Amino acid sequence: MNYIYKHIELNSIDTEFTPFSFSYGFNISELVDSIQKVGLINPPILKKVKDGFVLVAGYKRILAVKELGWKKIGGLILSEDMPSFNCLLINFYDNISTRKLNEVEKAILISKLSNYIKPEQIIKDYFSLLDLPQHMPTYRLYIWIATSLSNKVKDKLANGEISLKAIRIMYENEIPQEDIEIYADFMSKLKFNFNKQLQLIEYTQDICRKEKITLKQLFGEKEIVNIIESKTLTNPDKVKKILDIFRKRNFPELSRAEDIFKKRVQRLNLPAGVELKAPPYFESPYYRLEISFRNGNELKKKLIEIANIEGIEIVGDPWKQ
Amino acid sequence: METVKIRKVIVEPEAYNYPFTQNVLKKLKGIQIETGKIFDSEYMPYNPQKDVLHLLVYKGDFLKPCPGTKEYICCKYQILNIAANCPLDCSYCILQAYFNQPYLRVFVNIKEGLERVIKEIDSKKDEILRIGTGEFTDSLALDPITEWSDILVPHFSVRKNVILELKTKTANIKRVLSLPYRERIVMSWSLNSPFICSHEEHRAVSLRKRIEAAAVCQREGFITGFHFDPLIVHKNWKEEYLRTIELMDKYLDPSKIIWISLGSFRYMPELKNIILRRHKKSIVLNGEFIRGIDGKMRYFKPIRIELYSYMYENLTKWYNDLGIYLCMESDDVWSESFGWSPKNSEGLKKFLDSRVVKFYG
Repeated sequence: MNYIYKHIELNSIDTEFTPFSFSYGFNISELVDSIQKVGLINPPILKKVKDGFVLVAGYKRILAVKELGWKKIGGLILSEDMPSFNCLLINFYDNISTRKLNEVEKAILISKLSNYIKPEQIIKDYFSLLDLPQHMPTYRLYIWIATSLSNKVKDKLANGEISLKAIRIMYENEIPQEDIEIYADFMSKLKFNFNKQLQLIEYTQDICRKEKITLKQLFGEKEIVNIIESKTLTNPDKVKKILDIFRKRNFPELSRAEDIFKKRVQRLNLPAGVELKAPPYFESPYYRLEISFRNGNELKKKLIEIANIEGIEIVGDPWKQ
Repeated sequence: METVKIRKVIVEPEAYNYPFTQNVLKKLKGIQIETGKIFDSEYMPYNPQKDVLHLLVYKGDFLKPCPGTKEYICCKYQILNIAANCPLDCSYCILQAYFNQPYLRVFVNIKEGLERVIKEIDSKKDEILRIGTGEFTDSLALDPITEWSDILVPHFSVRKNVILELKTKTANIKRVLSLPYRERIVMSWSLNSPFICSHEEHRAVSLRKRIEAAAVCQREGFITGFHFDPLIVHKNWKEEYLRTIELMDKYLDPSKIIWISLGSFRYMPELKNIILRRHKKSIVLNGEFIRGIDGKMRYFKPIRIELYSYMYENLTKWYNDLGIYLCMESDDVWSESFGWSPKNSEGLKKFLDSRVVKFYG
């Protein structure tokens, strides 16, 4: 690859048309600070075009020095006949050697690569470098992220407010863009952690389908709005309360059984350090008793106490009398 | 529906010279035929291409135990593996997530495979083998094209330690009826409520036609079996399932029923998205599903018990010797639903084997 190092006018570099760039969701303040302190260590790479230069690598560096008011910059200049695909690869390798790309950047890069080579080739040659599983559904997901997601949602994905898993589920469930934005706002407002994001999508999608209501209607229900707007609840409390409501609505029989079981156990007034547990979803017929004890004498005492609890026979499947 | 609609046939090179292949191609004259090996790097479960017939030589075992899980009581059924994928398109079908290849895959070396299976059957003279072709495909949907019944029935009908169950949601009984065999061939239908049959079981014939076909088979000397699997909770499900039992009462002779299985809708978690994308109007996912001990999603236990108890009570009211059993359920669900339990898979096998002895000696 032949580069020529040259000082050029900053305004001769096109920062609007950036066909080889895939930077997304970045903050240049740290870079500005660093350039101010130690100068520009790595020059940007540019391609000569008819009436100026197109940026190949170093988009953020150009923005940073512009902010610092520079008029000229030293850059590595590629000749006009450098193929576009090679330019994209130069930027790709320049980036992955120094940092990890966020999911939106990966998506933009994959989408740009797809202009030059077939999906199979992209998967084979570049997915492992991007830490992506080498299969077609992943390729399709990333193309969808690049081409279908709104900037608002892309921003939240890039900065980690929404997990890739949540986005993947929304993609696989073919959730409409309008609803994806509603989810994105809802999740980032209450700061759902990644696991709870998945629960929220699963519960609410099921409720909307079963009850034939829209997501907007569901999130707009008074009970939910009151929780969101509560001045006394913390965000984690709000998330927990909302998920509890949706879970109960999705699993009315199971929730009822859990409540009955809990009440029955409470009524038993078990000795300290003794816990009675129901099997997951009451699917197995076996319940568990956990006893903490320091020695055999204490164990014996607790066992006798448990055996003498009045009404202990009631422990069992809550749907039975 | 006599024949399913086939748009294209793909014949793998090594399958081409088999007489089975030539026979199928003769039946599908005028339909696009491609010869070649399939190198499908990616299966699209959302587009199974059920109108493409893929003829190939099967390298695996033709006889396989039903893939039951040890956590629940299994009937120890044996699957005669003659094809993979089904031309019918039931929204709830587990095969949508079970197989990782598209097309209706039909195994052309069935005769060679059958020879090995028969040897195995003959080597187990002291055991009763209940064998069926209706697990990985519909037993009769492709029969007008494949003539499976002509190939299979004569071998099974003459053996004393085996029954062959042909399980279907079609009324394709012509070929079976034309054969001079009745012994040890159980003609079975998957049944459901009228609503589920018409709303969820795409490309299958109506409930009435299935029951009418079963009645014809009974009159023609066949023993019949029925499978209410999956039972699905839906609007007015009690009245709906009662309508099916009433139809059975109207057309069928219950003394010629060897067994009726009951199973509630259960699915591998991966199936959910496939159903949501392929069957947008389906209501089968609208229940209260929990993750079972085997990792499959199933109705919360008391809901299953209610389904089974209701069906058991009403079927038994109709006739009290129907050989009703549960598919993939636990000992406690058996006991609570039926008032008895076979306790384990061996017990259930014994119960069903006893039904075979009762009907065929």
